[in-house]
Amino acid sequence: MKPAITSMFLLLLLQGCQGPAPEEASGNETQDAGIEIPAIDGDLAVAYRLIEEGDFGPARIRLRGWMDTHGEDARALFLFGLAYHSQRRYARSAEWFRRSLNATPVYPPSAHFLGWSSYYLGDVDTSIKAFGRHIEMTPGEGDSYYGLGLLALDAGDLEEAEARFNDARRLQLDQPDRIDGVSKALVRLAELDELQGNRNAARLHLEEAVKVDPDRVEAWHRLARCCRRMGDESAAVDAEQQHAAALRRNTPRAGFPE
Amino acid sequence: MIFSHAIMLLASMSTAMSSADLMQDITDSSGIALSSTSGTLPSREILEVNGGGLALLDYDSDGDLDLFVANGATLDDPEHGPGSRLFENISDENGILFKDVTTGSGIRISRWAMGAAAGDHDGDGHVDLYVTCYGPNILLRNRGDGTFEDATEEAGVGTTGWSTSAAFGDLDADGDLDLFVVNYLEFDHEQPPERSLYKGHDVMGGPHGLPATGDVLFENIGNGRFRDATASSGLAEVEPAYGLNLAILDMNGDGHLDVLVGNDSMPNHLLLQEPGTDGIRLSESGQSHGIASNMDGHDQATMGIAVGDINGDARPDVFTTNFSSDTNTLHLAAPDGLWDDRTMATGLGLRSRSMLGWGTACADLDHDGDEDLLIVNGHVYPQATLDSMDSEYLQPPVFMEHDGSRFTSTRSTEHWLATPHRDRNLVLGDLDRDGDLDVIIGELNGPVRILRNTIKTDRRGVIIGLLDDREGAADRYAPGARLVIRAGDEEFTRWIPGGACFQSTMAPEVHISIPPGSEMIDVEVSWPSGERTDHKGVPVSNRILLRRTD
Repeated sequence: MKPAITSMFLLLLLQGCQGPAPEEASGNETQDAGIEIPAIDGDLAVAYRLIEEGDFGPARIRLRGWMDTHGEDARALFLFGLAYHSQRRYARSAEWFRRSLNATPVYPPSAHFLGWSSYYLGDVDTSIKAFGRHIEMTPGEGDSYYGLGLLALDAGDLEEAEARFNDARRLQLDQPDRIDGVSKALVRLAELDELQGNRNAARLHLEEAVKVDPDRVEAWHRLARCCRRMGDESAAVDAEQQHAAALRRNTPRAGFPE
Repeated sequence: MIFSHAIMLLASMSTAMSSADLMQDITDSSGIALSSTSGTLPSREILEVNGGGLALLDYDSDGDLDLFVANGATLDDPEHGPGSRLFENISDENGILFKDVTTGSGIRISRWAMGAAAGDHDGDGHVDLYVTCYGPNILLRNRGDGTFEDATEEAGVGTTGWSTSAAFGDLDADGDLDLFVVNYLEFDHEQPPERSLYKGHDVMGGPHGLPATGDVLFENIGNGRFRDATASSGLAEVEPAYGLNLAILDMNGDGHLDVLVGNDSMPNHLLLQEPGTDGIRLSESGQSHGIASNMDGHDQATMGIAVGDINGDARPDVFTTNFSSDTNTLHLAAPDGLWDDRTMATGLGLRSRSMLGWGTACADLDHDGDEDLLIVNGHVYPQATLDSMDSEYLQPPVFMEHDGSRFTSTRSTEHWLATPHRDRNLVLGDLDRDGDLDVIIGELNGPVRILRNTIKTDRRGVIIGLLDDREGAADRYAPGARLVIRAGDEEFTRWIPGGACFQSTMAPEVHISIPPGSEMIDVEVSWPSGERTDHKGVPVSNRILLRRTD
């Protein structure tokens, strides 16, 4: 099973990538929360590489060894959680992310991934708190806004969801390594458009999503549906073909939907 | 906005229950003392995890709902299990009571039974049973004297392999019931598949990696006989999938019955009748109509199907139950004839991620006028814990109350919803004829549970059944019919689907709760033939039987 995260995305998180706070972002302004994130190096870097390669057991063994020598450390505890998160074992990963945050309450990656682990467990309250905590630490991190957008959508608060998806889109727009984050946000903005009966706006959002990230499989799927419903059959067929091509380009899913 | 119907506004006017549980578990006094068999615990192979289906039918034509339980066997001898069972409803003013009448009924099925479809296949006025099995399926003809006989060969509905669900419906609108059989996959208990890996754990193999088997359609050619119409109907051209369940009803409102098949981890099939063709001609339209997968195009496990009018727009909405770490899914029918996944926007998504859902039903259990959702749950992997698989092996039923445009699970502390089980199957019907819906749940290698509805509100529960009483009518109970009911200022649309749920057959009737003071109702019936009848000023009672005599 391949890890469920991209390494570049994680590296950016681990560097505490900071951009503009959403309510202030308008151009090149930035807000620095002043958090220094200790580097993942030495044996921890080796463990991280093992996780990337899907060798979760060996990674955990190495991390245990490291902690036997160095004691509990937010980075090692985070990587322990990351190994479980990559296996989609979210109850376990959430536990390790919590331990990481207990060890170092301002370790942003643990807050972010606790948000996602909790989301996948259906633990709404913890997820909201964790994403919120992550944003407090690194206000420019768009993916946590995206998570909050999904939670708002689940709660039926469409206005809040739209605001958070727009935050996610804006905060990641100028980061070449976050095109997937931009694309995901655009797909969800299109979903809100559809819920509000605005199919034209939905199509525009979806077309932008596939332009930003041609590998965004669900965007092609939704675009095909949208075009068909608008009576544009040729665009629908094209989107279906692109959807199939994107599926072929992407690693097949593990068999159970997540 | 998505939801605009007046019913939703009126729903909030009903009197809410406060302290008492909505449902009372009366299994101990119900006369049903059956612990079902589906392999052994802990389950080792995929064959063991489905459990046995339930069918509510009036086999003795005395006006109440009797119960058939499809029972399984064990891997070491799939042909010789403890046997399926028939229970006669002998309820009276003292409460719900059943009597095991299997012995003497002629039902001697010891083969590993999976599901049951009930319908009058030969039009003699007596409800027959089609039992799906691991191994050849069995048609039990109701002799009309309280006994059944094996009519499989005579009727020409024999199959091989592993069938899960089946349902009767008059697909060619010729007045008799055709039979659709859903098949799962190729499995050999003597050579079980290699084990698999789930979330890092060694688990039983399948369905992935095992060949899917195609579904089968039998067209009724009269006199209790069928012909295999799989090829002529176009069904043979549909890619085989891991079929688990189905619903037969008019999905697109064109007056012809269609078939929705729920497939495990593969796209669901929406088999629409092609207009203007003689006989049955089905066209696979799931993908193009948005109901094959979730909104992202991901295939889901689709263990259970429930059909209802969730948003009060008179179109058939579809709720499906799925694997853990996925969500259950609500597809709302749209005015343009397509379906939209509205799981997240209705609050049904995150709540279901830790559950593995099976049987489900849309029903107004709490008599507030709208359709709630009842789901029974339980994991397939015995080693499942929250820690190991983000989901427990034993899981409680979930009741999602409809609240305006969303669903909430506010009753989770009630006793019947608090105890976790290995539940699989679910049927709803008015067992005690008091106008509300009672519930029967089948647990994997566990007891069949009876839950009596104890709701008391100022709204009145009404059960409506159909009877085509015309001379020579063969499809007398009209599975697949659609009813539009008007009571006061409220309007309800309900279906009597063939199939639905999981491996089971619901009671062949619809249920609504009507506002206080309603003395008469109007009912418009769309029969499976495509014809409509209007029934104006029908006096209200707990149970209404609409006869068609014209």
